[in-house]
Amino acid sequence: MIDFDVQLTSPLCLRARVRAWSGWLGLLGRSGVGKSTLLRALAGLNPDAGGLRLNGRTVTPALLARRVSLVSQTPALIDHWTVARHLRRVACQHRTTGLAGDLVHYLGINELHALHPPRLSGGQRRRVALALALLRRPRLLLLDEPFSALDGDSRRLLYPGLQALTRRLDCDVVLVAHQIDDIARLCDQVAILEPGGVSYCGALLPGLRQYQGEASPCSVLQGTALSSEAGDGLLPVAFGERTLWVRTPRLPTAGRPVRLLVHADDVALSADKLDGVSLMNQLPARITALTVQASGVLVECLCQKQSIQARITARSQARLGLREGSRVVLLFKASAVSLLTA
Amino acid sequence: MPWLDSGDAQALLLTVKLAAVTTAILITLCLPLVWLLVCRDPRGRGLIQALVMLPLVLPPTVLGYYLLVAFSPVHPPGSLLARLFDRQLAFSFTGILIGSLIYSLPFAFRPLEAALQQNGPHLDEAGRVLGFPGWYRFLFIVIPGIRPALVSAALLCFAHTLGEFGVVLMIGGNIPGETRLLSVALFEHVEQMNYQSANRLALTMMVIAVVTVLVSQWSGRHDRF
Repeated sequence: MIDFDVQLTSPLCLRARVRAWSGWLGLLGRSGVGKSTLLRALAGLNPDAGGLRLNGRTVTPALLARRVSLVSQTPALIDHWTVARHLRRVACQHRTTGLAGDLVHYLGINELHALHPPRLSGGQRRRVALALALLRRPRLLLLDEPFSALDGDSRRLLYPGLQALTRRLDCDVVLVAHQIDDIARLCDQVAILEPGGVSYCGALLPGLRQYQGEASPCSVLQGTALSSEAGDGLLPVAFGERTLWVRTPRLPTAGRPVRLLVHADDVALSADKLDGVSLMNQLPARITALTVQASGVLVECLCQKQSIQARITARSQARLGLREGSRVVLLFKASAVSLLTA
Repeated sequence: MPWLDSGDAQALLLTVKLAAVTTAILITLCLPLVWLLVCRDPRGRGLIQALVMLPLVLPPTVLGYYLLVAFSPVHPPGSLLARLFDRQLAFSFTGILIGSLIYSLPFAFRPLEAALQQNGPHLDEAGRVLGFPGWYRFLFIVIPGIRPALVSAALLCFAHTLGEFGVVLMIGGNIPGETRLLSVALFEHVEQMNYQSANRLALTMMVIAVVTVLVSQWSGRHDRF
């Protein structure tokens, strides 16, 4: 269970109450709303934080510092210690020497052992900080945009191992990520931080919708990977009784559950199924809601018991005569779908 | 003929002893004191800083005079100190040691304060994030992290004590083996127009000063990662 309560008056006024199930919780919020400040307070680094509660118990910043690990955007390491010395001292302090080898191997920091932090690149620094944070065997791990210095492939390579490690260490995670894809990929639940406090804490999909709002609405879909033998980079995914096609360089094992992300602006609507088009994905659906926005009409559709959003212009809506309950076909290219599960 | 005669050699040893003891005491005292000031930022910090800086602007003879008055057994502080140290402080090694501690205090305090203010909070937070307790962070993370400033403060303190004159002359006088330091011996040689011995003493002090500066630079260069 992730359960905390933080009250801040400095450097900004904030009251954050979060109760969520164990696992990965994504923390969303606009720039400057206080996400990093909240994480610092949770890690016991803000001595002015008041009303600190963790798992229903009142705690002091010092107690939090013992139980909670933070990997910040610019991880603080000790400049005069080598990476090896960091690992040795932290493992010794927290009696986790056996774990160090696994973490070093998984995070690929073997070659950095003899280096001092000023010689590390941004990505290397974060990987070392992540290893050290996990080496403490924390109850709660706070990740403040830990992957932003890594390229897309490095990030995707880290995800499965990181999730397995946190499960093995029985450690809950609060993740702040600039990339919404990272949150959708790793978290089952999200909390949205607004100025002054938390406005939403719950399941991923409604949370993402509320957060994305008009800016960049998207849908997260669940499916099962099917085997692909064509070798053309297209992955078939069982989506209810239909098959969805995803363009991806990585083909997960057949039968594995996968999570997909589709942006509403990439989905087009048609009254009938089209023949003779290159589009790989044509899904029959029923419109459940239409919301007029400044930037168009957001159409909420139900397809194979899952919700998919499309954003079209008001003119297209009028041309097609769309209303609640209308039957439509959702059209999108295989390359418009992102495979979130690594 | 030896480089220094026995009296001057004794003065050299006594001076080095005074400088070493002063440096050791000042660094040991200043480190936790400055760390507390930097971490807690207490209300009277400005006043403490001003008091610490006072010996820099006060003429040494004035400081020496007040110390001499304070050490006098006819005044309460002097009688209390005499009872505490079980001896007269004026014209004794303990007396000039106390004078040195006060006079050289800013030379230990300032570099440490600047270094701890600049790097201390960052190092302490790094240690806190890694889950180390406060005493461990201070002893094994913060202090080694400001090593160049620490060496610089120690050398500055040592070198400054070596050349101390006004305060020592006021409260210590010129008692061979007890309070006769290099600077006092040099002054005595000049007064007696014994320029050969004066030259040798001055050259000895110059060599010590140059070596101190070189060690300080070497230490700074070897602390880059």
